[in-house]
Amino acid sequence: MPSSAVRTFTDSDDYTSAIRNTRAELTVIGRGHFTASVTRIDLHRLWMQRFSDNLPRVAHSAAGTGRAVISFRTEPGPSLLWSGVEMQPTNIIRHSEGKSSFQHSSGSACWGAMSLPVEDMVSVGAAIAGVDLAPPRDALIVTPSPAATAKLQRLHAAAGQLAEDAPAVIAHPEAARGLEQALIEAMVGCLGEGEVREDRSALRHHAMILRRFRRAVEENPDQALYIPALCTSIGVADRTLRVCCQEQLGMSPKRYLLLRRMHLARRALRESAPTAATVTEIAAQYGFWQFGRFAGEYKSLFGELPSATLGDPRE
Amino acid sequence: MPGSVTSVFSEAEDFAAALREEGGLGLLITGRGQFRARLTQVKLHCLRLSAAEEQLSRIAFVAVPADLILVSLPIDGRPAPIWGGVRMRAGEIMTFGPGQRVHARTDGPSRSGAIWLPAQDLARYGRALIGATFAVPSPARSWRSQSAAGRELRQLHRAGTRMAESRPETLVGAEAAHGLEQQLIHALVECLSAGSAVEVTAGARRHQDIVVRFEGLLEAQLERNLPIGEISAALGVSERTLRGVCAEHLGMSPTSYLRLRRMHSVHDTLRSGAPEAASVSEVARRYGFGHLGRFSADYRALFGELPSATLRRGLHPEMAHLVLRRSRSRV
Repeated sequence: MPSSAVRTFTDSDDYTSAIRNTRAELTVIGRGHFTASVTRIDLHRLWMQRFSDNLPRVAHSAAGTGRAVISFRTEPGPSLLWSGVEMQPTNIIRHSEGKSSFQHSSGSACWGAMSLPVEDMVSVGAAIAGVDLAPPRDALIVTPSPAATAKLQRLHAAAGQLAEDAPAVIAHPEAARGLEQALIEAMVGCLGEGEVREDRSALRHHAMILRRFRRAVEENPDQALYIPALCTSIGVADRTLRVCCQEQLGMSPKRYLLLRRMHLARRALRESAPTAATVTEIAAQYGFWQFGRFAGEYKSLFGELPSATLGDPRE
Repeated sequence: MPGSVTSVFSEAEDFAAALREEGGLGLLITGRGQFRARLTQVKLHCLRLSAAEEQLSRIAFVAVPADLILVSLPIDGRPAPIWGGVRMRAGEIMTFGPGQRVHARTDGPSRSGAIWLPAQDLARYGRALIGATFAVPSPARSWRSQSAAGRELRQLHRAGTRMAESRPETLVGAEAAHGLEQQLIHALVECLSAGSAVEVTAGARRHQDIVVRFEGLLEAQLERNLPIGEISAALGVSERTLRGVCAEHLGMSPTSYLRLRRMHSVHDTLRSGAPEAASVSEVARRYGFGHLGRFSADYRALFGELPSATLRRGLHPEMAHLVLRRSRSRV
């Protein structure tokens, strides 16, 4: 049964949990009030989503398996890096199955994604363009002809508009089938003839280091992490890690871990009863020893002082 | 198990005893007046921090334990000890390798900070962060680290020791201690790999060696008033060199230093209450003081009491407790 939904968010966790078939985690790194929206459209076999969020952030996502996924930027804007590659409205990423990657934005970002079950993608690729569109082992960046890209972008945007203005049209099985066919043709039109840019091997190497970095982070979901122990456990020197993170996260690993500690401290502050703990204790527990600096940075990041968060479970 | 102790001392002997845990082999107070010192010691997982604030000038002789590295850093731009004749400038840190022996003297009120960590852990983290080229510094070295890492090291040290003084319970948490320790190690490794080391000249190393041997000689022959000619001959250096080395490392002549050491030996013996400390004149004579009247006056000027008063306290330690009002508090 085809369906659609348009949702807006002010909490980054709610936003990421709305992304389909993907386990994503988002760390906001810019200041201000976070807002995001997701338009989700499930046709018969094809799923598509359109995303927009307003603040600089780092998103880490682990793709699910069983579906062939592409993603692309829907509107130009501030730098949007996927695994260190600039996403443009003129290129398309063919994702590999089940792999994880970082996406880093330095401002508002609008992007979209489409997916088909792997067997469908393989058969439409063979039938329409005579090419193999099975998910690649490593992600590929494709630059199709401007005409093909424009067509896909236009259809994708039109579908998004329908979901907002006339969701009943999408819910209608026949109309949905027509939309689905048009989207599939536009997609295969892009992927079948596009000029494929191989991931550079240095980028692949850096992506691998970052996956190790990421795994170490994931294995300790509630714990503050620091560079010395992390470098020791993943066997990568500080400087190399710095280059990789700068390229793929847009910031140093130290800064990334610091922001992560900020978010962990915020969560701990929310969950603590004001009488049972003090802000200083929680700050120190997450490695913030210079209290004045912590409070200042906290305020500019979350818009309130840590003392205001203590014991306040809202959001 | 992480934890901390903040102690306030009004007796030099108690402070010296606390410094022994920090590798302090000896402490000679050279300034006159009421002794006061404050020492904050923080134990994290593998690393220890300390911060000391002292009123009187002194000469400490420090031996870095065989498996540790000592990092000395100035605090808040206040006068720091002169380590091995080198006056640290603002923004600098000094490192001392395992087993190293060095004099640290002050010439007035001072504040200083120290970080102790196992050489093995520094090597492990250094290699993980920097690569195989990282080497643990072994001889005494000062590092100019005006960089962000140096600033961070000083700020973390200050934050850690201040927290120990104001909210010691915070440091007991394993997580909190781990976080502080990790950030300190990161900053330290960056200082040592990116900072420029101030080269130690061959001459400075030789002087360092002479003063340590001089100290060893005094230790073995404390009961004699050694003439300077005999000392320099035993050390195989000229009198002039010996004078130069002592001025540089101890801030005084070899004879003054020797006399000061002997005065302290008398003081320690009288205070010990041991049977051989039966009379002041006997103990004074044993340490080479012949003229008892001049000795008593000098003694009083140095320790603020007559030798006979020290002896009384030594013989009746139970009374001393009542009289002294020791103000050492453990937190």
